[in-house]
Amino acid sequence: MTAQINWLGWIGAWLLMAVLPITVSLTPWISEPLRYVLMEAFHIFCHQIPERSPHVNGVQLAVCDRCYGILIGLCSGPLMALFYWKWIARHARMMIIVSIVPLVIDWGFGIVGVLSNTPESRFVTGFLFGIVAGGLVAHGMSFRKHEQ
Amino acid sequence: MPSKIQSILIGGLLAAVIGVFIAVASEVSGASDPGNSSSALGIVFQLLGCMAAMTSGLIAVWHYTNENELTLTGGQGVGVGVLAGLVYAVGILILSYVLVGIGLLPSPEESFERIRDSGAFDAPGAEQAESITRMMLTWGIPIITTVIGVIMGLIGGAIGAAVFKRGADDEMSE
Repeated sequence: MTAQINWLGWIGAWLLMAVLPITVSLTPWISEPLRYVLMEAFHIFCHQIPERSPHVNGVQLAVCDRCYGILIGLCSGPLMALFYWKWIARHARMMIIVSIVPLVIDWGFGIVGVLSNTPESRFVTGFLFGIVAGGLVAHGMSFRKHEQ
Repeated sequence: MPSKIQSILIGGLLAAVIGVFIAVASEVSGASDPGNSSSALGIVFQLLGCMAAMTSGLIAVWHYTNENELTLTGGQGVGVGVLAGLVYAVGILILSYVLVGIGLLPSPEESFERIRDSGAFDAPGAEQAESITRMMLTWGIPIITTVIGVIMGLIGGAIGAAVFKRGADDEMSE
């Protein structure tokens, strides 16, 4: 069995996954009114609590640490799919479960007060989930299996 | 292959209701208040807000595979997710307008006034910035919401196709 890569699909997947991390990272470089608009637009998708959000040059990005990790992971996922397409095809379900467990543990321990999460733990656990999700999207949009 | 329209509508609309419910609950409970960031409710909404947008594609794929006892390929899951995400975005915009009407969410004009109160337009020559901001609040937010909804739906669809497998899988089984 070999995989045929539809490069147009792969580039499309990568561009789609890159749109959101680029957009949320714009806040330090745009005017203040537009920054408010961007924050308002992402407010329905993320709580944007300042203490739990990344800052660049003292300006808050439009999403929290965990969402930012997810978005950066989504952007990196298509690159992973290039190298591990076979693995993704075989173990997609397991990968999703394995990637979501640390995220839920990090989040859940915070709720029950067992362990307070840090910006790094929120970013990394979000990134893990994001890279798997991005890989699945790229796999779905660009890889076609065909028998030899 | 059976029609996917019903699943797409169910996934998109259900996710829109979940998303708006979380947004309103977060707003009303004060969980989205920066001063309340350490409350358990705030922490609950922190993850739900991120994940709610993905549920449109997930629900649509789950419903389709469950109803028809078949497995979707990753590509088909992405397609279903895109359309469910579009329905989600339209649904959430309509519901938001309704909630703005009954005063549960701030209107674009109230948002504009909040920006003005922050002093963002105090610089000289800010008239142009004012008009651009007003236009962005009216048209930019719905466009950005639609783009985010479609991308998140697409991701949910890809995840759903990987997780919910019923019956034969033409492309991915080995």
